[in-house]
Amino acid sequence: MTVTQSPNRYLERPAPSSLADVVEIILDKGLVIDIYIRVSLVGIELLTIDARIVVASVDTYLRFAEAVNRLDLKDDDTSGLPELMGDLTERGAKGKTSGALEGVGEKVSSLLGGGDDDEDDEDSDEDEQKRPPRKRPSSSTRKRSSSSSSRTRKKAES
Amino acid sequence: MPFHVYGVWRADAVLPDGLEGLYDTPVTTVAEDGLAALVSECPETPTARRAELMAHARVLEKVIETETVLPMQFGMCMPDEQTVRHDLLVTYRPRLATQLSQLDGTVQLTVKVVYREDDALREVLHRSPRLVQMRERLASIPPAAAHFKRADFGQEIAAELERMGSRDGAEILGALAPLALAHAEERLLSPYHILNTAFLVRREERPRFDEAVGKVAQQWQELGTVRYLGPQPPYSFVDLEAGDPAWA
Repeated sequence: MTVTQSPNRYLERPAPSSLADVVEIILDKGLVIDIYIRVSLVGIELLTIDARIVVASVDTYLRFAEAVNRLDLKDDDTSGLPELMGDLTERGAKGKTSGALEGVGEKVSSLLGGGDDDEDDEDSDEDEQKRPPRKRPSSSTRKRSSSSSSRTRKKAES
Repeated sequence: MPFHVYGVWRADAVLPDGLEGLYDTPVTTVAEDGLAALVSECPETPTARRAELMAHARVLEKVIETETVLPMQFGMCMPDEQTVRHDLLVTYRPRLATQLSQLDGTVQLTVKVVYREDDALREVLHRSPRLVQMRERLASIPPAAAHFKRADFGQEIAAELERMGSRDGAEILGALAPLALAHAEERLLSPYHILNTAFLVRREERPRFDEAVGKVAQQWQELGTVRYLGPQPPYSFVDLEAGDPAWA
């Protein structure tokens, strides 16, 4: 079947599925007779479950805060606007929020790609390690302040 | 030798020449009373590595170019030809035949819309002067001292992003759904994914649907990117157990 299409520089015709798309679809969708599903899903099972979990955690929110702080708003006129939406935002913020699951597709690709397929079952460990270390603001603050105060004292003595 | 099953179609459908499946084995058919299963030989327990997953999808995407096929989930492995005939084609014959005729002449097209992180967050701030003020207040506090305030701030950003995403997602769905026979909303993999929807579209409606997706891509280019996948076999619209869908 020939499809004629007006030229469109924003989007080509639909494209074939990538590996991440394929994983998302064919392990989950399509006809199935359960007793005949015979496949070693080492690693992959973990991944599909992982993708379904919506993470809402302090770490997730810190990542959002960090991403927003990075933004350069110099050309933006937002700060000059009156606080019209304050009430609306306040109410909505208490609702359920979904968290960030960054780069799920990339994780899938790196798991299944790279040519070495025997490493599939190592993913769960890798996942743990990728999590950012928990921050301990109180202890690091204490350290810094105590060292600076001792320096001050020395100066005062001399 | 066990068979890996790709899908089911009408026995008179034409198999493309030289079609290869898992482990580079030729794809053949097992026919029974007007229905046929697309199969290829495979080991007792096939592996699900990149090569096998892609091969399964490629076979079905090749076939759907010209024929209607009911796709199987990956990993349907039956011990021999007789089992394919009996436990699939005979046992499920009424349902398979019904679905084949309902889905005749249709393809699945999947549209995924994903915000670009920076552009979406900038838009979130743009819509909420209060969040801009929070950001400015936080900037004046040392990061270590503002740990929990930053988490609260992030939570508000996440909530606003979710509101914006579901509103935009609904708008895009509203533009595309009327052009399709049916649609199935699949799960969104991150807060930046605002649409992940499979559409069931008649082949002759393809040009109109392509055009509509192009318009969506143009309209949302400031905030994100549109991925348009297909034609796929109707993965999201087949079921051996369910009753007839509303659109049929």
